[in-house]
Amino acid sequence: MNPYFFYAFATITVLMVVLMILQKNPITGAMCLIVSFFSLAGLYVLLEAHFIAVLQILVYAGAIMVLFIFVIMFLNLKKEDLKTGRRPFYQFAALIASGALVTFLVVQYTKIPPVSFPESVAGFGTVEAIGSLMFSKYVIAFEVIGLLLLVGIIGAVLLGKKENHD
Amino acid sequence: METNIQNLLNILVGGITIWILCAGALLCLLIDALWPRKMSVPVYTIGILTLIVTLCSAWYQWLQPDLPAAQDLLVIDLHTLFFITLVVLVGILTILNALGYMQLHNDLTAEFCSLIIFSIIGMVFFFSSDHLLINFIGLETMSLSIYVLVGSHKKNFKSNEAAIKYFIIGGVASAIFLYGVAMFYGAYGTLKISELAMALPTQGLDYLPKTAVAFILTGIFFKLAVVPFHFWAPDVYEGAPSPVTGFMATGVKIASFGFAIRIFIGINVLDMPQIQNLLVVVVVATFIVGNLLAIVQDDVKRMLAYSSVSHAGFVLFGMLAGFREGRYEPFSSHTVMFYLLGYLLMTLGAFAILSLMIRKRSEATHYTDLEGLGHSKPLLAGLFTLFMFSMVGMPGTVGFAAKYSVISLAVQNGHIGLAILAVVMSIVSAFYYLRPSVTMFFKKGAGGCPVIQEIPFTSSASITFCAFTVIYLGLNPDAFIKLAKIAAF
Amino acid sequence: MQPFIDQIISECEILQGLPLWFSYLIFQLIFCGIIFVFVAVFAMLAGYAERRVAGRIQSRIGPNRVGPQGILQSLADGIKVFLKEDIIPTHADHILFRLAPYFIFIGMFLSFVAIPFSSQWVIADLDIGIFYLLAVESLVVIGIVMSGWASNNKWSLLGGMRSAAQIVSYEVPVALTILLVVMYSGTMSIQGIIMAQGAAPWNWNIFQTPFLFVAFFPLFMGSLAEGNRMPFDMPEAESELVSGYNTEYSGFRFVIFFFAEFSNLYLIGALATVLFFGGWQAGPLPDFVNGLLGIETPLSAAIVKNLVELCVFMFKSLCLVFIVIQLRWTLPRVRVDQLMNICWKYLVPVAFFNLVVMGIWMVVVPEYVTDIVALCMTACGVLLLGYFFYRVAWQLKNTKARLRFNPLS
Repeated sequence: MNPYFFYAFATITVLMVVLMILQKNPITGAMCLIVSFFSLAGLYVLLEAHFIAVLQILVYAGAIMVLFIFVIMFLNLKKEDLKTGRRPFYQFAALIASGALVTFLVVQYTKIPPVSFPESVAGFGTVEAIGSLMFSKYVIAFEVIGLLLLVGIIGAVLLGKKENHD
Repeated sequence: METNIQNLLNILVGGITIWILCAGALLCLLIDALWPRKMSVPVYTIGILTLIVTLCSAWYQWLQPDLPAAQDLLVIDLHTLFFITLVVLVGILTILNALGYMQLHNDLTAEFCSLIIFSIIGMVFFFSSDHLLINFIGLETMSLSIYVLVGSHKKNFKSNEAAIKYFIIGGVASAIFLYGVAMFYGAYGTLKISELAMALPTQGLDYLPKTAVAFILTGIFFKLAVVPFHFWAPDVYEGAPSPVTGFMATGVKIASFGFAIRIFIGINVLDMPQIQNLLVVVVVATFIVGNLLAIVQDDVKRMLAYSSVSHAGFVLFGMLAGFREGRYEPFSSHTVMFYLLGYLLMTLGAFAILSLMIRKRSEATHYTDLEGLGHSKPLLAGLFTLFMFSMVGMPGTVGFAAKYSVISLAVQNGHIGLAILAVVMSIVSAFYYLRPSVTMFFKKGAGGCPVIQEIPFTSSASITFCAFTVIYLGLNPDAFIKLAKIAAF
Repeated sequence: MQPFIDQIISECEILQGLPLWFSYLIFQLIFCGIIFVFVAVFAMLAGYAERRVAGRIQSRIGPNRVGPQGILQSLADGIKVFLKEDIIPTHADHILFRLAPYFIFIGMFLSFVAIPFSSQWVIADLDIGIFYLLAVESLVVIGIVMSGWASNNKWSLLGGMRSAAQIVSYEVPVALTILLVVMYSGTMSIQGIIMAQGAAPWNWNIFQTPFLFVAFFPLFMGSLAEGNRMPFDMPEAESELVSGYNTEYSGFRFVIFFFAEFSNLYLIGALATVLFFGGWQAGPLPDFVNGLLGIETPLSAAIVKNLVELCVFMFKSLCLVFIVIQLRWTLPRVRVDQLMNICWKYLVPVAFFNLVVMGIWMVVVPEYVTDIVALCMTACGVLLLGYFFYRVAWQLKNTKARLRFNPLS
């Protein structure tokens, strides 16, 4: 993995996520998130996980973000709606807390001894490799994720459907 | 190919209890969809039958001399079976409570039942897997079902608020948990708990796993609602429909502790002094904050929310009590298990009664609503008082036996200060636990109809069961403590 | 692509002196340029063809002034549009308004990367090509939604929202159908899917099993909806929304939307061709043509082979494009609720059913039965086509109309 590419993509990812948080305008924030998803997909490509990279774009940038934007457009927030009461204490506290966490993590990460991972074998990250793992070794995980998605669907239907008696 | 089929067969036979649950949940959904008329009773019957069959199969497996060899992703050992028994018990009692509750509120939805069972499936995967990936998926399945259940009272504003609150905070907690899991993977290149146990050095851990442990602990603390991660609890507990609150208060905590025991005792992470200090801080804070804030509540459900916070602290204290001079004594998690069983029975009993309280077609659990209940429904009020006594830890109830076993273990292992704090806080808790009973019996109602009018059959069944077991286990705890000792890590 | 470039390099001495990566780069850029030109020309011609077909169907003439038979009409329109003022509304979100066409443009061209025009002429034969196509399509959606929102115009906003809802919904049946084909072919590479089929109609995927035949329709309808084509062009329904999400755009930015629309039109045809109609498979045709021309050198033979395959591919995909154009002028536009009903209540269940039954079929039914079924289905297809022509002839006879084969007359 080329370190320069890694740092480029990583910087874009982090920068865009931070921008997303700082944006006042939700649509612009969502756009930043999309860009960060794309550079995340770039990171996956660098890790030779092409399938996951495409999935990332397809699912997150494609479907989920479109729904996000859809909802934001539905709300159609005005400028006045976006103004929240400034609470300096909370902002200050959040800044301190996140700063402390970041410092902590940076310090921790610098102390990690280098971990050597095995070189990826031929066929790593291809659909075949993922598929055969998914249906043999991780078959339980696969099935349970099926249940998880089913729960999601049931939940959406349950919460979204109209009341019969009104 | 051969090995694959063998592997699948092993999984099918070994995890039979889980597959029964899955089949039952799907059957509930199908029956609801295909049944000609909108009748929820068959669905609930199927749900309860499923859970009972699961319980039987878990007992059957328990009695097997040699359990199937541990799979990578699904470990069926006595620990798992014990916790399966607990969560399935929670499920049965919750469905019984929910049937009563929904009958009173005229709001019977069949999906409720399958969501409860799906949530139980998630819990089972959460604590029964040796692979952190499956643990996480189980956690998510459990949580997602509960988010929906919390918000299932769609017309109730508080229920909506609770669902959103729980969803956002739960999502953050899951993310933090996942971050910790990813750190483990980054440090050792594996997610299997057994392999992590081999890879972790026994002395002087690296920085990354320490951080990972802290993150995973944070995720679990959110689910347990211990201080300082308890802020969501009172609002969510208040907003959720009462049976769901009972389910959250017991099921989620039981599953989280099942997982916590498996991972932290499994890989000896708790032997790190930093983590122990962290636990001590959390336990002390939880004892104090949980008990003191419970005093000032005006709503029984909010009070029980804080009570569940302090009980979670007690269970955590039970885990901490297993340490003697910084090393974890093997097989001492049985106190935690027994405490969870007792906590389950008394909490669900109390929530079964709370589920019956209805006024003007909505829940009425404010203290003022309880006034005069001791005169209109003396037996029910008496049973509620029994559960409250058990929560305080009156001798003769299961609460006493549970607290006694935790505190005696702590004293044995030299945690005198914490033990004293626990006793003091139990005494403080008597103040708020007895307040509802005092209100029921000694305050005259301000007129109007009593808050409990009819008692559906299912609710009375679950209340009777809880009351009976609370007393029975309070009088002979040894039988179950023995069982827990067999299953203990 | 790589084998073809290798072949050229091995034949050409000037290139052998250059570093390998350089010649690869040069050739890839050349091919990208060719595709760019192709898209531009296609958009022009398709725009012209669409108007002529519309004219034919509506019993009028259509553009016939600029150039012979009006064939340069699109060029004239293009020049006109370039000369227009580029307007950005004052209250628009300037950054997003400018960014949106780029998203659409990039998404559109990224799709062409994976389209195989012949056995060797494909910019990148990705291992997960078909999946990649689905993924980059999403960029176009984002661009559309963005343009709709940034314009600060209610028509645009409505168009963008309709588009988002529509595309996200129809992606489900399309993806399920593609999954069916992937399952049948055992690969996600687009070349692999084509390779698994054959040149003869009874080797095409569409005639392999009844389920694949049925599956063609969710795919076709779904891609019509994703391409905002009639009868699913809710996002730019001109009778309701002026022009939908691109109402506020003018000048070159509008041209990009125009390009995107027509390249999407081509992609609809190309995707269906790849998945169901055997792609560029030409069977013995290239060898026959080579023999006819008496070509000896391997490079020329390869070029001719690829050219023949390109022609086959183009023929198939343009036939589908023609059908899509005809659909636009024959079917009425559906309502929004009908649109969602069609997707969620009909296409998705059909696609799911197909997927499950097809899986069972693949496991249970032996190969020779599949072959017989394929032959029978091809026969049915031919009969159906024959019946169609019979009906056309019957109509012509009854109405005493004259069949004019010259399309420009």
